[in-house]
Amino acid sequence: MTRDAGEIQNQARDFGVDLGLIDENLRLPVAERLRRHFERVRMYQRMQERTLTERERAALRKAQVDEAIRVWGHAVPK
Amino acid sequence: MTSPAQQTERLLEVLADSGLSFVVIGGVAAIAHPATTATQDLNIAMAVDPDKIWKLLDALAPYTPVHFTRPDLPLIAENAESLAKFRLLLVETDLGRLDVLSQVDPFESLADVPTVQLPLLPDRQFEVIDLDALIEVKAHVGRGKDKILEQELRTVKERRESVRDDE
Repeated sequence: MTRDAGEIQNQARDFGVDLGLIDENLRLPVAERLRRHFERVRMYQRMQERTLTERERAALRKAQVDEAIRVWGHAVPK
Repeated sequence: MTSPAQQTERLLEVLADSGLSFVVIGGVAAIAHPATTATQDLNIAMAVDPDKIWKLLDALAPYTPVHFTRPDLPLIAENAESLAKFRLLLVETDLGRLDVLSQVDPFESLADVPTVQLPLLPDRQFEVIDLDALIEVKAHVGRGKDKILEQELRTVKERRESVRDDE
């Protein structure tokens, strides 16, 4: 491993990047990586459905809309 | 109003079947490369004009597209002329969220964005922003979560290269 590569890995760990998961993903075909990811997203959404009240989910959505407007401002309808 | 369940595979199929030319960017591209980021929505970049917007909205019409930021405003093909003026369309559909960008900073035009063909779905190829270009985009944007993803993508690049060296 080069020194630069070692530095990048150390930084990655500092950022909380899961090197094991990246290596596991590298061994999978692309479509399988995506299939697993989409399943994880849906599992996360089902968890939200079960754990948040309708009001909390609406608040979460509003926060996402506010964030989109804050970031993109003039570029989106509002 | 709460968000519908994200069905990105179906969104990709609908877009591919529409015949539109587009590039998958953002989190889904990162996963394909393969980062581990927890992105939910689908981001694409495409050249935008009223005809293309009409085609896009026609393809999405069965899935009740609305503006994510203004769900009270339906996205309908009749508005294609005015919608084509937006740099970005944040679309919410029954299949989940789709962001459509007409430019990808820091690249001057979409034609300048390097891409690769990847099988995002079994037996189906998609044009995806390449890894170096995605790193460049994330470095340019520079917001907190983009910085984290940039760091992860740099790690992915290094791991990929070390796997190649070992072969």
